[in-house]
Amino acid sequence: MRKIFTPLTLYAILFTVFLYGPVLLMPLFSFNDNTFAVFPLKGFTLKHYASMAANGSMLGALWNSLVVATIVAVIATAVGLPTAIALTRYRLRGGGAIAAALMLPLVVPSIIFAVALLVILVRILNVELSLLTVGASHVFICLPFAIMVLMSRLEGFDKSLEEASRDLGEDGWGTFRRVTLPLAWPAVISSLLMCFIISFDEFVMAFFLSGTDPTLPVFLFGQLRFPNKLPGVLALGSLILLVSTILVVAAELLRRRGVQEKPA
Amino acid sequence: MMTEPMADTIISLKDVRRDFGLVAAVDGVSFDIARGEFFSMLGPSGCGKTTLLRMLAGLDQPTAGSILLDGQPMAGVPANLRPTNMVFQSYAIFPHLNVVENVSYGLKRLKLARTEEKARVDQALALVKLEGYEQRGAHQLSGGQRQRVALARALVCRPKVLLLDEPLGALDKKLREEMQVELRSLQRSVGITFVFVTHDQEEALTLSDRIAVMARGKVLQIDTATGLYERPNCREVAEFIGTMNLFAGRVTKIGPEISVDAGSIGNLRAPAGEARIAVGDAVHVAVRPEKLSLLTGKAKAGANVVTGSLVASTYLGDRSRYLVQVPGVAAAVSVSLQHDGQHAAGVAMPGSEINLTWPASAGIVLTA
Repeated sequence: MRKIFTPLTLYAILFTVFLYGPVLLMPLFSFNDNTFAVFPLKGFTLKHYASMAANGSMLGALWNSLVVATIVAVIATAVGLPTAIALTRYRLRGGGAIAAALMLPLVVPSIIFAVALLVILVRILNVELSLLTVGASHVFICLPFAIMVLMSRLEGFDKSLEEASRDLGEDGWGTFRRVTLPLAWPAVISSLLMCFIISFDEFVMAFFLSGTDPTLPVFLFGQLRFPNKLPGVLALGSLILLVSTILVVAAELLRRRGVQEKPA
Repeated sequence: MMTEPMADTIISLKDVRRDFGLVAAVDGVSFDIARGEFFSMLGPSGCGKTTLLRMLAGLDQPTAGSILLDGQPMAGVPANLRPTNMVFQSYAIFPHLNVVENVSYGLKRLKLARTEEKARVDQALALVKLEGYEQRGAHQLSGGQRQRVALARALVCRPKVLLLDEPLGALDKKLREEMQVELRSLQRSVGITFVFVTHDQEEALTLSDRIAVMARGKVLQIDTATGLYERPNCREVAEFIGTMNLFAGRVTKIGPEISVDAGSIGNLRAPAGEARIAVGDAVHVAVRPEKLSLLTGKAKAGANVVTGSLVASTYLGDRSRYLVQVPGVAAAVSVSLQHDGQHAAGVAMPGSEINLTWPASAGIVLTA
């Protein structure tokens, strides 16, 4: 018989509890009939959800975040796809340097980019801070993720498929439309989801670069100073947790389907 | 078989060259292919045969030289506008499309009437015996079926030339032999010029009207299967196609026959071929294993005789193969003898002395 309970199993369980325990406390307290997030639990209530729904400025911030994240996801993926095609399909002069430059936001702390962008936008370009500046900075940090996801898919399928399309009479655009895009589609969806999530919960850039209209993370940070606002935050946090879990699972399922479809 | 100069040329290559950095993948190649011909390019990997094929398809551009396709210069003409279609080594079946969608891929841009398109697809599928597989997805097909889809997909476009890049390489031996027969009869029935790339000499010999033997980016010889086997023009071709015994020596006399002083073996005689040879030239006298016979009595007048010791004999049913070590010759001499009763039993024990003979007319003098 295989041993079911080993020290490694114990370690795995403890690890998971430490990782997800605090996160799972949030939905728990969001249903607790108490203003303070403390044990013991007092009773079940939905009033925090009601107060959340009544909090107009919080919903406004949520809306801002959703709009920014959606547009950022679309732009980053739309820019990332041709970039990924160029980097995987053509022998570019200095292709390695270009790829490295594009991947820079992955390794440079975002606070540095945030300060640098702030200086450039406000001091040099004299641009007014708004959701537009937040969105622009988010495209910048999402791009490497979009390119990586798309490149791994484009590298994964046989280049002779595109050559076959050319050989069968399709020009470059027709080949992109009929072969490259359909084959890259799972990665396009993953890229959209990933960029959406990155933008949606990005704090540092948004904190530095948003004007009077905050995104949700920036707004929530401001709310933490008021203890009586906390339960509403917990309720919203729980809902966001639910939606992100669904999105991540969907993205992962899509990615797996993409992997399975790969020609043998 | 075509050996005469061709009246009806479909492909004409002139000094075609393709450099990759400092390496010449194709190094100044010129030849013509006739309309309706089954033409093979044969050579080891890296000899430039696939690069040449890709340049015909328009997937690669020559660094120098010209390609004429049905009289039209192909410089600057992209792959999608050329009257060629290709069967890729990996087959390149579109994984997101089913069999019908794959086969009709090249027809979509022609905007044919629906019935016309269906008729052409059905005809192509019938040609490669894939009726009933219309709705199969690409991943539900076996290797042989994928290959048929790739063929149908290319043929449905009615190309002037069909290009095939080692299409049988990925199949197992039995399927490969079946497909060879089918490919040949398919080519005869559609009448399209096939340009076939392979490293498998048997495949090339079985299928082709003519074969270009390539090495290091150059064409060594273009001839029919018989021509390549019986009249190789250099050592490389002689050794690449089948087995060839070579005896090095120096030319001593030139007449209707050439005499070669082969050192310790003695004097060898061979017919004067087309090659330009002068007295004193270093040459090889080449002779195929089946042209040799064992000498039991006295040598015939004018025949060549060499003596060696038997290294190994292999009984192969219809024939036997002997390896004979001849002093002064590096590689053991290979002898293939048909069984006609006389040689049915093993003639000798390994180590015993053997005299080999062949008529002077069976030899070939190779200068290179």
